[in-house]
Amino acid sequence: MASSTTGEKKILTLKGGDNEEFILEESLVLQSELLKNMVKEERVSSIPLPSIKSKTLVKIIEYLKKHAELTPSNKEEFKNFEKEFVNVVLEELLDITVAVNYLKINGLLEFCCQAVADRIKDKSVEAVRKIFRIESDFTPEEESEFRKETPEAFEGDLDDTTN
Amino acid sequence: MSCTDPTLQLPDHLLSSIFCYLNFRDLVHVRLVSKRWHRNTPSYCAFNFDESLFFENTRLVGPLPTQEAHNKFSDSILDSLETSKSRLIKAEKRIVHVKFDYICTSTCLTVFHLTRCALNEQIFNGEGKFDSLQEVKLDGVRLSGEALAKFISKCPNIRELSLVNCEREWGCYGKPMFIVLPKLDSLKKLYVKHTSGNNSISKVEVIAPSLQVFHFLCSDVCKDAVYMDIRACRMLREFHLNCVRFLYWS
Repeated sequence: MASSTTGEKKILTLKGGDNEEFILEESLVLQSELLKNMVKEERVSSIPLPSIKSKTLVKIIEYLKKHAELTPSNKEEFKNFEKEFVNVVLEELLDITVAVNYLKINGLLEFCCQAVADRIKDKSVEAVRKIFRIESDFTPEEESEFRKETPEAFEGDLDDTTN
Repeated sequence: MSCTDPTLQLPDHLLSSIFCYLNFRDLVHVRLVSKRWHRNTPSYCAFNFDESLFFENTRLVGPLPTQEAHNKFSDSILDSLETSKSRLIKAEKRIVHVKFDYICTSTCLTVFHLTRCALNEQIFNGEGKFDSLQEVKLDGVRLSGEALAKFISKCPNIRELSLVNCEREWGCYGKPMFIVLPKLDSLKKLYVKHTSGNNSISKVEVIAPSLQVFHFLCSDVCKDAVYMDIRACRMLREFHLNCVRFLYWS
């Protein structure tokens, strides 16, 4: 299938998990190594991405647009945008991170990993478990040994589950 | 859905990448969260320090580390090493990555990478030895006087040594540099790479009876010919030489 063109700009359709379609300029998706290879090698004009929720795709496209507009003069503005970008509930942040990893958008991936790490840092073990809803799968013996060895890892910050 | 671990959708390598952004203290916590997190905790961690804390700006000679900040820094390294010693012993690999000019004494370090800093020979004048060190990499490190030989002589069990773009101390601009190592019985691999910097290597002397691999890469920053003596390395089976001028080989 040949890419459809309007004037100079090539147009590409991305199909999210729930079949919602997103039409955007091909130049935008070149930031994704995965899509870049698809576009270059197979000359497709429509790419299905069934594993990515539309909601997540909307966010990512929003980022691609902002990133494409990045110039030295609006750096500050972009930084604020990035900050807001990852200011979402944990599940959404993880969805985005997984999708960005799949799409291979390197700069954004680093930023997302950092954002997830920020939600782990300075927290006690219990607080991290609560935030990430992880049940400990260590044996009670192991668990009590940890507590004996590194009591400070289990202290404080227990209520910090706001994110 | 709301009571399952949302990180289950993250592949292991992604979990590891996320953990790479955490400091040592946080990683200790991460290891205890669950078995999967434990498995994916990097055994390598970077000590992060805000280097700007240690500099006062002096317009004339560039930034200089302030003594007080330096002491604070060394205290913090020793402190974190002390508290982490028992945990390091239990970790599968023991690696500490320190990006500053302070060599730490530890009995459990096996791998030591030092990047972009300076080593003063005086810090090796004490009694202490780095018995546990097996792998040392110095990358862009300024070595004063006999610092290299003194340091390495304190690492009797070193198996692998990499010297990447090391230079002499300030004030020795353009002067040639010697890589003269004391006798090293355990050294198996030696890598010397010299592609930038103000000092060219003019002499290499290695006495390592069990050395098996030696790579020597020296680009045109080396204006002088290199005198090399590796006669004592009788086990050498892999020798890569990439060097513009080479004087003597025996």
